[in-house]
Amino acid sequence: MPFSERAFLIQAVIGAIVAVTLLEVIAPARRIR
Amino acid sequence: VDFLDPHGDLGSGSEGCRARLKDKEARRDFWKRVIDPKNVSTGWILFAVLIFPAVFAASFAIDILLGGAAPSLRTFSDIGADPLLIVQLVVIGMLFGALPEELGWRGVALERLQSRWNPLLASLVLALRG
Repeated sequence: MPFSERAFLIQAVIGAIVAVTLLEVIAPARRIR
Repeated sequence: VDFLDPHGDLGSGSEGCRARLKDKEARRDFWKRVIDPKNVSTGWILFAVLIFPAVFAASFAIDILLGGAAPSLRTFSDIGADPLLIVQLVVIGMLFGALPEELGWRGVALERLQSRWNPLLASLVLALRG
């Protein structure tokens, strides 16, 4: 198997944190559309 | 939301896309945003290119620190054995996957959704509907 389920899960958590930070904090503050 | 109806799917050349692009000025604005590199700063381009490898690397690193096995690099050795694979991946992935998706979703749908909701909610609606 290329990588473990746990690595996948960690990836999802980090991805969600990055996405929410971008969309909720950075995009509104910089008025990115 | 009218342009997200089941008969006007977004991916490639949807009703919504076509309706939006009937207007000449909107069309010009749309294509300008597609091809004009000045819309995006170098920092954001670097961020876009590096964020996925960075998240992958971080997740593997954390998994290994927690006692997991290092990921196998089979994909890389497969590509090394047959470099044409990368052309195939890029052409098929870009032309039939990412490109029409970005034009329809990011270029048209998200703009309208964001006029109604905040960026997070608009993206979630797009993700669930798309």
